[in-house]
Parts: sequence; C-alpha cells; structure tokens
Amino acid sequence: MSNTITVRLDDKLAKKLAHVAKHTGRTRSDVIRDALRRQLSIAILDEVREELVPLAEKKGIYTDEDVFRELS
Amino acid sequence: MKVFLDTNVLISAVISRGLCRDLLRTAQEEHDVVVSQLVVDEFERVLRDKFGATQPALGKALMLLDDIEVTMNPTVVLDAGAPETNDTLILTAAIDARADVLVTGDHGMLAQANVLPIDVVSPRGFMERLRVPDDSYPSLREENGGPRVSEDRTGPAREFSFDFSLSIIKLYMELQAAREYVLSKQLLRSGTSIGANLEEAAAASSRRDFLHKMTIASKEARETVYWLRLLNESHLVTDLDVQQQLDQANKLVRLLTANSKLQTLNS
Repeated sequence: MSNTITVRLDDKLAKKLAHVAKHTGRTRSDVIRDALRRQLSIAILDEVREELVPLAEKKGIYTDEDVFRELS
Repeated sequence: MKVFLDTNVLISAVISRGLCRDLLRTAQEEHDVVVSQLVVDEFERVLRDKFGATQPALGKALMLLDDIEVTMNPTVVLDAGAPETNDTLILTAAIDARADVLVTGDHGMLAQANVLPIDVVSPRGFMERLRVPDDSYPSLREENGGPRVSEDRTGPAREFSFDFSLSIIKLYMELQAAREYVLSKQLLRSGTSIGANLEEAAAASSRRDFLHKMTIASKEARETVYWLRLLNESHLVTDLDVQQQLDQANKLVRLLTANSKLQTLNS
C-alpha cells in the first residue's frame, strides 16, 4: 500500500533536496523516503532504548560485555 | 558488505551502553544487514523473558528490524566444529545467507574464529574494520557512496526484455491497425514494463528494492503471457500470429523464475 503526503519545505531545504537528488541521480521522493527511513529508525531505536535500558539496569546489566556474559 | 548480526549484538544495541548501538546504525546505513529467523525469535524471546519487555516495547523493537533482511532458518546444519548447538545454528545461518562477516559478542565463537568457515568478528573488531579507508573495498560502494547491490543480478532477462519490448511495440501497432484497441493497450503496458522493471532492479538502492522490482518484472511477464494467450485463442484479430511473442514471453517467465530461485538460494 502506498501513501502520499504533502510536506512544506522552506527554500533552503528544497534547494538541498534538489541538489542531493541531482547529484545522486535519484528522484526527490526517493531521497526523502531514504532520509525519512533512516531518521525514523534512529528515533525508534532511541525510544526503544528509553524503555529497555532501565529494565536491563535493574538486572545489573549496563554494558555490551554484561549482555554477552549474560547470554552466553 | 553483507553483515550478519548475532542476537547478542542486537540485544546489546537496544539495552546496553557500548558499541553495539552505533554498530547497528552504521551497519544499517552503510551495509546490508542480514539475520536469520532464529535471531529474530531469540531477540524477541530474550527481551520478553529475560528483561521483561512489555508488548508495546517489543513491537517497537521488532520495528527496528523492518529494513533488515531476514532469512529462513537453514534446513541443513553444517558441522562447523562449534561446541554449542546454538552457535552452530547461527554460523550455518550466516554462511547460508552468504554473509561476508558474522558479528557476535559470543566469546566461545570468537575464540575459535580462526578455524571457522566464515569471518567472525567482535563488535569492536567490526567497527575497527570500518575505519579502513573505503577504497580498500572498491566493490562495496558506488561512487555516490550509497550502499547498494554490488553487481547486476538481473541476469540474462534484462537484455532479452529490451528486444521483447520492441517486438511487443511492433505487435501493438499491428493490433491498432487491425482496430483492436483494448487488449493491445494492456499488452503494450505489461509487455514493455518487464524491461523497465528489470532496469530499475539493476539500479536498485538495496537488496529489498532489487527483489521487489524483480518480483514486479516477473508478474508483468506472466500478465503478458496471459494477454498473448487471450489474443491467440480468442481469434479477436484474424490472421494474427503471436506465437513468436508468446514463446518469448514464456522464456522471460522462465528466466525470471530461475533468477528468483537463484536469489532465494543466495539469501
């Protein structure tokens, strides 16, 4: 399923978008989708960590090494 | 580079402080990340059972894996000489997925890295490797720096589809001349879009994008066969011979099916 949304861009951002699209040979939609996907992944990762890091800390797990020890 | 992430790396990325968080981001942005179904299941199970993650939190955590390629668990498990069954399963899955590297925090696996049949590195080892200048891995990046499918995997169908489009256009003109305006338009659309989608697949920005375009090409090829058969057997236009185009369309379907089987084997 595909969705279309309209987003207002200021001149500077629109210019940057046009530049990147031209430079990489992609469409503006493609550049926007890609940028959005990356940004949302980061936002979701931060959100997930906000909930999960405290749970791990309660179990005394703080670092990657603690996780590796716990899981092996 | 195709990077297989072990469960412990994914778990660390979402619950602890260290390299794994950045590693997940970097790997997703610059490389093709792959995991197996076993990793996804384990990721979910550990977060829920060991750390008490709530259902909404789990849902969000799984959303992080949306853009990652997930392979089926291998049916044949290699005897990789690894001591634990789970390690063996992960190793086999990584090899099966044709990963260039397996990133794990498992000390047992890392200790044996030199005898394992695949490159196994720690998260730290992986991040250090990324600091090597890009030109040491010329095949990894296109000039624009984006991660992408490294070579053209569309196979022989791409070249063939161009000639096929030409013959469909010719047929379309004959049909128009014979005043067949309905089926001819359908045929023109589906017949010429096979090649267009293969071109898009060849320039795909990710593996997922590539597979998606290949699937569309395959569907269009089947649709084309359908319209041609209909034209052939309905006798809408008398004295019309579309057998040649029908043979070519069937050949395209075969080529694309073979290619999709190849991609499945390679994933």
